[in-house]
Amino acid sequence: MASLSEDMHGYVTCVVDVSPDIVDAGAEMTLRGTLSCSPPCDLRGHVLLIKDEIGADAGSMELTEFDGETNTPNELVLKAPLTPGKFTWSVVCPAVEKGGTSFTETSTQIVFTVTPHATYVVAWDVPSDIVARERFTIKVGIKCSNECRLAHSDFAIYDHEGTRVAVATLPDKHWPGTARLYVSEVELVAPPSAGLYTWSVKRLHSGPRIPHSESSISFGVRVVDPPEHLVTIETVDGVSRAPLRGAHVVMHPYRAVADEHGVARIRAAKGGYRLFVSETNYLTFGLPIEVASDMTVRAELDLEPVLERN
Amino acid sequence: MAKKPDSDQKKRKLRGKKAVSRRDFVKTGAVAGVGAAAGVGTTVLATPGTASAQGAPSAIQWHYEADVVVIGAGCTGLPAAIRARDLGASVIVVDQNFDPGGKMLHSGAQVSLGGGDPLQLRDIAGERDREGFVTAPRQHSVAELTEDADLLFRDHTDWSVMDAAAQAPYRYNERELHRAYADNCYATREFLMANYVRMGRISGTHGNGGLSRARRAVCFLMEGGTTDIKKGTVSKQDAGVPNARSSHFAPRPMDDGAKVASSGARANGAALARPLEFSAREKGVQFILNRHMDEIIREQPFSGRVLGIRATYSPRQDPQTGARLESFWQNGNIEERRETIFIRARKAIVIGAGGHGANPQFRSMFYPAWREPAFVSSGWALLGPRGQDASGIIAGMRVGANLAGMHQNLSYGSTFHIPGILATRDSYTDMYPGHPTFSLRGSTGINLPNASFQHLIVVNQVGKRFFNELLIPDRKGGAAFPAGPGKGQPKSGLDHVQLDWRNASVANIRATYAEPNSIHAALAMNEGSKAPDYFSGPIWAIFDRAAVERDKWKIDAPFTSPTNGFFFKADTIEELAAKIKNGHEFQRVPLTHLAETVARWNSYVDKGSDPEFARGSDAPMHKIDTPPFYAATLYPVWHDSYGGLRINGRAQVIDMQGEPIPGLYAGGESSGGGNQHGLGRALVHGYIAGTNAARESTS
Repeated sequence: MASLSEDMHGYVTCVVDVSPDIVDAGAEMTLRGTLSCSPPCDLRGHVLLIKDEIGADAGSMELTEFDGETNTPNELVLKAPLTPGKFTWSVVCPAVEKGGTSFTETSTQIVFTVTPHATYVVAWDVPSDIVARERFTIKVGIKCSNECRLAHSDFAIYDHEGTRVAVATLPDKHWPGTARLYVSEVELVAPPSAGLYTWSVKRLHSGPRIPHSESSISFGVRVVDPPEHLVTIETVDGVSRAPLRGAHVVMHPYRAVADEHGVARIRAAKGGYRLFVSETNYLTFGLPIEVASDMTVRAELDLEPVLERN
Repeated sequence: MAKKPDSDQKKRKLRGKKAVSRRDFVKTGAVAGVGAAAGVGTTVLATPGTASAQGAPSAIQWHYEADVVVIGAGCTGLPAAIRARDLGASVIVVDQNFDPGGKMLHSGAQVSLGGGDPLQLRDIAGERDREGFVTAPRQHSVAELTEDADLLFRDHTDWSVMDAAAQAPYRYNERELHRAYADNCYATREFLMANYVRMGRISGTHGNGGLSRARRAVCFLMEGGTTDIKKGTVSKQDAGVPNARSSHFAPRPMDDGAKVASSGARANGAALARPLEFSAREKGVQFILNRHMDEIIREQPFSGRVLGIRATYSPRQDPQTGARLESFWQNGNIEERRETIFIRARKAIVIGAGGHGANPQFRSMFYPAWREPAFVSSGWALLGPRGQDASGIIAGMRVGANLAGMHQNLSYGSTFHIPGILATRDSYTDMYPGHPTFSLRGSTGINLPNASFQHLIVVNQVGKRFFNELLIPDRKGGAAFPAGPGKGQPKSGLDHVQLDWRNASVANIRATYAEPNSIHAALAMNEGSKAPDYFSGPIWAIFDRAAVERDKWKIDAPFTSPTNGFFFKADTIEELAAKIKNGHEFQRVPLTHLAETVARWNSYVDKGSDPEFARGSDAPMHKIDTPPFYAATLYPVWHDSYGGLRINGRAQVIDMQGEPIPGLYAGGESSGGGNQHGLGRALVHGYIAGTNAARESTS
């Protein structure tokens, strides 16, 4: 990182670091450095030149501080190149004469690696139970690690056999509560047979000119046989018998939320299930049930004891 | 011993003065001292700038002296100080913190005593308290309240009792110590009531306080227009607002005490600590706060009397203003800012400096995994970095003290455990804005009941799950009335049979064992643990927006902080991992596996079962897939301290030859040989220590 050149009268040592040294394409990187001379010399006002890999000017750093021994330039913030790869740039201290002392030109190298922007794919709101051949929707979110604008980028959805089943374009819309997670809703068609399938979402190469890494995510598609029976779950407080509006009911893979009367309704296929009912601050209610016809289950939930603290 | 120079004309001395009543103290008031407010009975021996520290004890120039020097203004120290003062001793209390109260101040104020104590007798008789505050009905039958000191002693030394973790809470208790405990519970309860402490109906018994009878009462004050300890009232401002606001008076908002007292009663540790502090100040106990005891000075390294202490200045500053934190009350404070001072104890020193839960080197004697510095003791923000630091125990060891009960740390469930409070380092207590130290922790924390753990996963420092999340905050251990099979005993309540071999039978243990051992999985080494310490690192609760909405969690300020490094939010799991690595002080390695762990978990939810940790059969499973995503610390905490200085029934510290160290006393979590959780043990020790310290002859 340093080099010496011998003049009749003085030496210059230049040290420059780049941070981060692994940087996303087009992202900011900061150069910081020091320059010392022998004999010590106040070179404030002198300018260091930054040269890129082909020798073109990339910026400059002016020496602004001197503590009696070391000169310090201002920090320089640059944009990294857009092309991924390893780069070696130069920092050149031009020749200068000061106070009767001559210092010849010297240079040092800075090395950094440019990486494509990482992208992340999220898939949610996939229904937990989808009847065979029926339509269903999911939400897909895609984000760039540098928060690039991804509106109008394309993505595709592939089924369990790798067949592309949908292509969509991200609108210019963010998911609430996030910073630049672009979101789209996609309608899909369930496979014809019951089972658990693994599908995937993959971002296609389109959108911003800055290179972005490939990204994908898998998600489960649970296909069920057409429901045959209605299971009605009445949820109440175990002591007061008051209905528990908003209680969550799970009989895997089916899910429901109790209404204002504390009642949840699930249409389920025939079979055995473990029924769970849960509500904030209550112990979870669990019961094995066998669905062979329409049925009603009463779930009485008890408050979870408050933990004593000393 | 060299004579002390007598150069200060304004010195005060209290020698041979008889004990005075509270009324006399109120009449005479506090006496102003030299420069700093040295008061009745204490002696300022050296003016600022002239004190110096030398090697030989005889050469020490003491800055202050008193009959009894108490180290720690908490659950042991305050009763010791008051009791000694009642018996005519001059008393200086030294505390490393800016405010008295210690861990007691943030406790639930559950005081288990028993043996036929005045509150048991009051409830048996169906009487109210003298002031008429306790109108709630009796909580237990007469039989459940009726006992004597012998029954209590048998309970506390019962070899046969096993708990649900197959440990024996009473078997290893020091016998003489617990005989003295049983014999002094009555007097201690009376003492507390005589010093402004109000307690409600007896309700159950606190952990390891015995199986046979109900012995626990919670301390309270009545909500009123002003805080008036004499009248038993606390203002709404000082009591705090539940789930919203703390105060300087009460670092945790005071709870509703109606069930054990009456409507308007507010209960928690402030209702115990503040009355004791008030009484101590009223009686002329002097406090030197912001002062950490570093050394006990003895005539010879391992022989002779203890002479006094060396203590250094330990102020704490408000991180925003830089101003020194100050105590709630100041009357009786000696303002002393010199870096190092020496305080002479003419009669005795009482060590009530608390335990070792915040000292990673000390506590790792019991469990090497606890050398991890990330994990703190309860009340970390309240007590500061020098609280619970084992300094009292170490100082005693350095002058030859023996230790006792060191293994008992491993036999109570909350000694170390994982509370269900996320997103704060101080994961045991729920402090809100309003207390001077809140900004040091930055967040109250997200308090989740156990059932809510179904909505999240928990990962170690490399991003891997390690246990069934529903069992992580669960620890068994500890057994107290009414006990029963759920606590490891074959019978509960009055049916429990003391000293019965069947309590410890293999069949009973097999039938009642229920310890999940989740804490040990949390502390285990993982691929991020590096030599030489192999720290387990922080653990993280990972959840999503759907969990927050589904279970109605409060995740905004003050429950979380966006800047204290204990709570993170991100649009994707990958970004969440990066934020944790960059933003948490103790995250030493990247959470390399977090994204794959979440993906795997979601696939288990799709399948309906968890082959790794058997979730799905005990509670519903929920995907973590709805952005934004959250990470909150789930920090183990070391709360109780068992194991410390060996003391006898007089609270005298015992040396390696089995002899008392002349003039040295200890109690509470600075002492060992007892496994009773909570305040009762320390309060009785303090009462006994103060009694005997005051009766020492003057050196």
